[in-house]
Amino acid sequence: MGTVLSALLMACLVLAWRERPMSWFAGLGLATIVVLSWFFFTDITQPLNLSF
Amino acid sequence: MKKAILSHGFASLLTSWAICAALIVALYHQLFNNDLPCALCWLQRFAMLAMLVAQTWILLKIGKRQTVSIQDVALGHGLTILAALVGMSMSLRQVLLHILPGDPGYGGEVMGLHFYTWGFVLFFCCMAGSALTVALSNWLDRTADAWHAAARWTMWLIAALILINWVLVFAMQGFQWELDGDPTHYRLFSFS
Repeated sequence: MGTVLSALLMACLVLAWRERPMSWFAGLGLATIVVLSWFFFTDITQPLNLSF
Repeated sequence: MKKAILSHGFASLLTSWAICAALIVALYHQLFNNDLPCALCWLQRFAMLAMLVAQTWILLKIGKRQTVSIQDVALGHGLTILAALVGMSMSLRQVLLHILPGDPGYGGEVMGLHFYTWGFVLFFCCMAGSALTVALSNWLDRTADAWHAAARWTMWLIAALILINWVLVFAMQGFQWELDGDPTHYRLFSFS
């Protein structure tokens, strides 16, 4: 999961560096935060034995 | 028009330096004291890196156009606040995991506090700082000031920190999907 998050962060940085449109950066930035939250959510819900 | 005391560029630089300093201290402890980060610690590091990437958006805009729009400031600080909110939830969870009397906590300490406690303080301060910057954005200078000379090496430092963390997290998790909750070694170099 760490490798995926690092790749997303690097992609965000490259988008900003190459002056891609604001909506691209906002979309990928939000997607990174959602993925980060997802990993955290699966960690805190472990004791509940939820299956997705 | 009276010149503003604080600029958006300097506010972003200050935020970036504080986060970079926290990540460098964490990396130093990992590499030289063999203080390996757990899965929750890694997620907090990624939340800090996400805040840095969001601040880079503002710094890059100032660097390339010598000024930054209110929309760019709002996007940078908005994403910073969201990443800080997620990171703060993680550090709060880790603090609560070790809050019972007699629990030694996880990992090393810096000035008497564990890394995750410092993480909580950092996320809180960044969130408050970003909210304040957005609230006062009309009164802050939006053009590049003398401090902007430091933005170039700061952005290279941010890129280097993401790359170093990328290499280290890969070394720690190897080819397995999940990270250890209580790691003792680098999985990439060990098959045990």
